[in-house]
Amino acid sequence: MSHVMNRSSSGSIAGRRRFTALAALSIAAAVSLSACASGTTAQTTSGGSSAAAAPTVLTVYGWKGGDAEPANIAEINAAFEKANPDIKLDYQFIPAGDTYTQRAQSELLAGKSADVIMTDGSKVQDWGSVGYLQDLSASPWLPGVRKEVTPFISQGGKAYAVPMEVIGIDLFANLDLLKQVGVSTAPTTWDEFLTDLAALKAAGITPIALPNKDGWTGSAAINAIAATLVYQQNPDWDAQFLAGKASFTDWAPAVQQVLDLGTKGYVDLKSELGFDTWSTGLDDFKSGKSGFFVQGAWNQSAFTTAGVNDVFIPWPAGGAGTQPSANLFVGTMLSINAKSTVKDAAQKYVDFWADSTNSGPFLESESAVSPFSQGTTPSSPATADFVKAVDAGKYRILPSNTWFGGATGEKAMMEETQALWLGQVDVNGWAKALDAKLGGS
Amino acid sequence: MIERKPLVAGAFIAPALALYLLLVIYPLARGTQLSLTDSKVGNAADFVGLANYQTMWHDPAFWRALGITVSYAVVVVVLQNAIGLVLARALYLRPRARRVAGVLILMPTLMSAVMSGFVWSSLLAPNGALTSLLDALGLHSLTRIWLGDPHTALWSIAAVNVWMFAGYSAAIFLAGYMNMPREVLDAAQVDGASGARRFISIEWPLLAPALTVNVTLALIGSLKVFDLPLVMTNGGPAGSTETMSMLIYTMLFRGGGSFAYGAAIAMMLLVVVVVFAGTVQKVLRLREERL
Repeated sequence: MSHVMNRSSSGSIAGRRRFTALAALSIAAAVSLSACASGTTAQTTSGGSSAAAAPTVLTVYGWKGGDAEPANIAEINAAFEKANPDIKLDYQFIPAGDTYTQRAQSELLAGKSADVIMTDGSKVQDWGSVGYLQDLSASPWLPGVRKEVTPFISQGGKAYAVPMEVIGIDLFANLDLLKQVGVSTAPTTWDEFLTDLAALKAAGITPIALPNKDGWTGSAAINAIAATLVYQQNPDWDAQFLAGKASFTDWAPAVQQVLDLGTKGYVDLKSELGFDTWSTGLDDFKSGKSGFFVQGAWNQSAFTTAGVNDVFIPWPAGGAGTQPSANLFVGTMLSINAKSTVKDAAQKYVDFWADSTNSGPFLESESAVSPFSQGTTPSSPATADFVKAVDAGKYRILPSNTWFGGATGEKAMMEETQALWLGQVDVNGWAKALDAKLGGS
Repeated sequence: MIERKPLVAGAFIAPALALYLLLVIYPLARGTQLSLTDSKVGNAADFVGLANYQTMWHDPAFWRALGITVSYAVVVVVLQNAIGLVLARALYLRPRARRVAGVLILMPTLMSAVMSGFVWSSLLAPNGALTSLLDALGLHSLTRIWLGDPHTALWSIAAVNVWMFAGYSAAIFLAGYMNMPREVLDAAQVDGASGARRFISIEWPLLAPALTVNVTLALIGSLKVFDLPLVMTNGGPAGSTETMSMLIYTMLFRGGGSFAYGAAIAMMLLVVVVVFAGTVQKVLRLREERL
């Protein structure tokens, strides 16, 4: 019996020793972790005795600045750090679209996102309305924003973002291919456009590419045409539509132009539904496979790098003597996270971007228009005609903050345009469907 | 005598139960709660009762997505299991080829759905390999805009789904074959039963458990399909491949402040999956008991 008792007592002594060792280890780990956390906190706050040596770290999320679209972001960020040696930027590129929204929105919900977040018109409406974004209404640059752009950076009467660009979504023309068929300049009227397309077709060159597998190009083309055929006649069309006083039947001539391209044999609209906009479409134009292509001006840098001799022009929708209007989109913006702990630094960053001498390289890379009334818009030979139209006041801005924005707006237009190209609806059916889905009369 | 120790048993299952509550029950409860609010982007919002469900009832996009999802699931379940069964029987009757062929038919399953989607998008493009092959064989009349035509887009995605998982179904059916008593099949062969008679009278009844597993897994997976239509068609053309999962994704992450409505559609998808999978499993289990 005694040997059993000895075994049990020695076992319990060993057990006590193991427990003591484990408890000591746990306490040591907890102390180390809390020391690390307090050290990190001291490093990232602007106050406190330990921050005098360490710069403030400002985290920025953006979907520009990646390898495919550097947009001179790195250069501008370096200039900001040079002008603000007490601030260190942690710029994080996140791919555009759903990936960006999934990450940023989820983190904002958890209260732990970046200090400065790249946004757009839709995100300002969504995130501004629920208090995720800092009110920037007192910013000194706000009065200088173009009045047409102010609604896109505002929600509920407050400004929540500094606009970075107003960018064109319109028509690219390959000048080398046009020269092959005896055309020396890009078209400015609908008749000239048809003549050029016919010449390209006769020479065995694809006249125009409208890859529309995801619906984006179809919607973009119709909006580009509407800039001239709808908004030149009625610049207040958007407000009237929202008030129920205008209808998408006004867009019938614009829609018909695209259908006419199909009936005249310049593009196979049904076949284009099988081509991906963002891979095949872009690669084909870069390879010089089509004379004309609808896309965003942000691709100009990539086309120039690929050696394409092209120009970016407003869609030539009008008749003789008509100067076409440019189709613009209020693009990227920068907002401050309402829960940022370094708001002073964040405000300096957005103020830096509001100065066109700082943001000029970005506008140049994007081939974009300055969103400020007195801002400088870079112009290149490729975009000269487009910028000229904008400077002459001949432009229209996509209403991404109202009927074109959100889950239904652009998606509805993309879907109905695909249905139109498939022959499932006619022009009247297209207009009625959009009136029903997007509100209005 | 075995002594029951409920406290000890409870201590053993507590960690797993805690994880289950945290990762399954809590998100389910929060999602349900969210679906009863007017939350725009997932933030705290006002309770609105069943307003989102009433909106859903009258939303043509929801009913379209439901129809597309159910049609897709029926086609995938039938084809995937039929092809899987054929492959399994072929492998069972060819033991020498079983090891190598068994691995080969599982390879598509090992690819990620996103990668498969991108590869097949390229193959099915108007200037892709499939069209080129049909042209080369003189079958130009069979070419289509596979992913750009609403008559073929959904079934093209279903074909990719079947290609990915037919091998997986075959592996489960093969396991069912390997568990069959060999002497029963040999006796039937000795008695002169043809291959078809052996399949109908012996193999098919004995494969009932494997069938139940395969149909249930294929049904649940195809009702929730998301990656393939997202990558291959983005829900188009003209919404013809927008499944319920895609509709939920659009509402949650593509703007418009429809987070709560997306959560309501997600709850409805859960109900659909539970009802369909539960019913099918009940029917197949009863069949197993009868056999």
